[in-house]
Amino acid sequence: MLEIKNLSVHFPVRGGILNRVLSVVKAVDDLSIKIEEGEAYGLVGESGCGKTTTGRSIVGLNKITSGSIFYNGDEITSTIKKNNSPIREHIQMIFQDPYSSLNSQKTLYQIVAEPLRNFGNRSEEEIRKRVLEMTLQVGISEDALYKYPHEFSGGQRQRIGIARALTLNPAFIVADEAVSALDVSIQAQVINYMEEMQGKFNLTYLFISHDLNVVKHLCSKIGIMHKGRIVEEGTVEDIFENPQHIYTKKLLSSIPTEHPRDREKVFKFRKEVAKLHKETEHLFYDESGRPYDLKEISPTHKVAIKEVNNV
Amino acid sequence: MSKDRNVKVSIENLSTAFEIMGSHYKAVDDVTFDLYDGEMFAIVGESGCGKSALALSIMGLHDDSVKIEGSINYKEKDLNKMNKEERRKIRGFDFGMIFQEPLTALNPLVRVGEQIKEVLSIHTSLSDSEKNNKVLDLLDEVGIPNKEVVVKKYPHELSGGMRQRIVIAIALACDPDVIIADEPTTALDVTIQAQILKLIDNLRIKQNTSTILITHDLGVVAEVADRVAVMYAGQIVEMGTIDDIFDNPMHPYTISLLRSIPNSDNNNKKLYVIDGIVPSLQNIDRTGCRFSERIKGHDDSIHEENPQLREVEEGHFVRCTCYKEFDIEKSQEV
Amino acid sequence: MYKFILRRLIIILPALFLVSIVVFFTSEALPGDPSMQELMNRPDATIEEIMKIQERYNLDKPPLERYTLWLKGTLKGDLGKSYTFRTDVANLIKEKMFNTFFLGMTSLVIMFSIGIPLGVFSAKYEGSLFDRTVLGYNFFTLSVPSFVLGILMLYYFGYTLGWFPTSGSINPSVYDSGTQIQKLGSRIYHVILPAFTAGILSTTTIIQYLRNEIIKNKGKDYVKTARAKGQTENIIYNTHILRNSFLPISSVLGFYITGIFAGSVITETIFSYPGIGKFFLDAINLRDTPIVTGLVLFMSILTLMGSLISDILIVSVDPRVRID
Repeated sequence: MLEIKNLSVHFPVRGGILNRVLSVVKAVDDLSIKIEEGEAYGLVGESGCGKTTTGRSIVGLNKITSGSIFYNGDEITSTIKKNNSPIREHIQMIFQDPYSSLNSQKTLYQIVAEPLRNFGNRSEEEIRKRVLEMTLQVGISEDALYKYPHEFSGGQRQRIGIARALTLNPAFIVADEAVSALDVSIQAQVINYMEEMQGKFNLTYLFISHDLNVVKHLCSKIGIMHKGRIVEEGTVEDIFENPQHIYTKKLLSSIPTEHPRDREKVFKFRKEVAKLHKETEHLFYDESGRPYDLKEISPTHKVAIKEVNNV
Repeated sequence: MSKDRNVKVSIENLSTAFEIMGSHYKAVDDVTFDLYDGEMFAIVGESGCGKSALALSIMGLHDDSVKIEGSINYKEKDLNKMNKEERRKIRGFDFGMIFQEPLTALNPLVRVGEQIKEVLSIHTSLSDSEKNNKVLDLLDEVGIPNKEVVVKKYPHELSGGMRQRIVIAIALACDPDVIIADEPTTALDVTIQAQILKLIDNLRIKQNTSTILITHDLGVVAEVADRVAVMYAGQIVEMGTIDDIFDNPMHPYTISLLRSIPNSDNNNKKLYVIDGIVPSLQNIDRTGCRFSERIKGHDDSIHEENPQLREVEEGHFVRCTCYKEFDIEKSQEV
Repeated sequence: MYKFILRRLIIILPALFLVSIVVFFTSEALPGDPSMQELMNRPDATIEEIMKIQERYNLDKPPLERYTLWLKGTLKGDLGKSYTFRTDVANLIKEKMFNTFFLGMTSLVIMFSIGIPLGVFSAKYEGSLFDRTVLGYNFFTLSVPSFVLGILMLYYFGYTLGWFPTSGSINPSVYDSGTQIQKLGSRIYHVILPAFTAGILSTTTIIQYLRNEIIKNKGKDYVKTARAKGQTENIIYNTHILRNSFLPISSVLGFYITGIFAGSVITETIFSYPGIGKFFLDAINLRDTPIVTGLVLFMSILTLMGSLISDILIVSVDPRVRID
């Protein structure tokens, strides 16, 4: 459904007298991802790994250095950037901070109606109907239609963000840290809701997050990102039960203990991983520290490793 | 476990009220607990539950408009009755604090070594070279490599994890009896989080520092805490050992929180959602059980009229009587 | 650091070149030249006489050639000859420049010695009676134009009370035969009224800037850290908060310096103070193009230097700003 081929996004570091490009930061470095229809793909990594840049590139918010993005087989790399491109109806984004991503000067009605006005010629009546339908879908009552963002709770705001993203009936949603800023109880609400919507509208998700527990809960396929590249990709079972890349292991071992009884086990695991990291780093990263290309080790499981037989 | 340990700080009926439009509202409402020698005491709750206001009250860092009642007993003195100057001398010396955001917690214009040295200058009469040596020792202790280089760096030149180690070094500089860590790992990446938590825990064990860990993350609690207090709407609703809280949670709020985080038990299942929202400071209903309106499928008779925090088992405290009847399945169905 | 300054100076060169072109050709566009003046003074002047004057000032040559000639002279420090005073522009400006510089520096000192304490204390005692009084003072200085304040000062302190001189920059007899100290004394005596007028009116921005910065910094996390260290309130205020609050001021300081020179036109005219501001106005009225060109060029250089000074200050006080 969505395919990213050899995507690279380099940010120039400028300086000097003539503001020359001194060096480049390879935020995304030759990255390829294939997301099947109806799938929830979790892109996981730490801050600065390039996961947000990848997401923003898909919806055309970033300048792409090289590579291409295909949607249902059509190349959309350049068309997605055009404001009224029909492809924009199909791909929508949900942002991390539900407060700053909603225009504080607009009412809930205006916010949810905005994409409808931007695309297609709908009558005011149609727009009204659709907005009402969407807000009820996300569990916000009709009498809140003319309230402003600050009058809603964090969870409600995030649901408004979701409603806005869904009004055009998109098939593909990029969710960038959509639940990270929320409190535990609200987070649960939004996670449930995103799952529900996926079933109802047959949505495909690219779920970008640093939280492995959340991704495990929501996603069927996971890509682990490090230094602008995917270092391991597989099903939830592949990643959690049979992690191969040292960085995946490091991330998994860093997840806070679920239950106090696991403390010793987790600490031991961390120690092992740290030791393993020292011993096997060269198998996963080349001399310059760049992760190797992905190699298939099972039909669903790929690892960025020097030689497959190192596994 | 608690019986053979000494109480380091005893907090009684502590209330912290903020002024909003001329009236005072209690963000911390009648909180009582003992902090034992060398323990890791976690205070967990969602944003707005009063946990950070509590931390600042213990440190004495609120400004004058904030009304603080009750007592904070330390070394046979009530900190709350002390004058500002006496209180100041305790801060940084007997009580150290670790903040959430290590970048903003450090002065951007001052080299990190100097920022650590500042604490030593305030509380000790060490000579300049002794202070410099102590700073290097502290950097060692918090696990900073190349300490001679790092002391001369400015905060922005260090990574988030390194900055937080500097903040920890500041808190530790005078070997305090008590450390208060307010969301010390929230701003950090997971791999760094694990390291920083381990560091705080190791330092606690090594120097027998009583540590209060304020967090919203039950995973962080599970990882390092000895005892836990769960806060809701300004009150402690449940308090007990780490095993009490994780293996035998009693208060409906504790049970609900534990059920709403994604974990290996609820994978592929719907997460439990607590009905309603956390009331804002002005809207807290201060009569009866504050959690009652967020429990479904139960009638109001299960609550006490004036809920108290009671010791229901040895060392395990629960507020209100509603825990006896609460059934999470019943609450979810409705 | 010196490398940074050198590099910034190198960038200034092409900017100066552009400025010189703009300055030269805009003043070229001003109507009138000395030959026309001569004609007005002596309607009976012969064509030859007029041609001679045009030749003397290179007015007979095409504009581009005149520009290169002017540029060459300027690079050597020769700004040409004034049409009206018939002497070197450079020499004429030198004297006035010193006066303006003296006035500018004095008003800067006045501005900072009033502005900084008012800003610092109004922020420290935010919301107090003092703070509100300063706010009122700010409204006053913001709304009163310099020519109104200047005239009031001149009328009251100059004429009515007779405390200060009403024109000039130095007593002529002291200028001719006084000792160095007497000269300085006379200069200060003459500069006080205009300097106060210019200085007081510029305090508004500095007070507002400083007050906002201090109030913003008071709530910063590092202040909380300093308190958690057990630092005394006085030291927290005087070192942590003030240091961070002065930062943005140093970034505009360079522009204040140029502002003082540019703003001197009105003050100097009101107080008949012989600086470049008043001179500039006179030169325009006299259609004395070489003087106008010279002065505009001088102001442009000052502006560029002002921004350079600001940059140097920022780089030297804020470790977060990287030089390379």
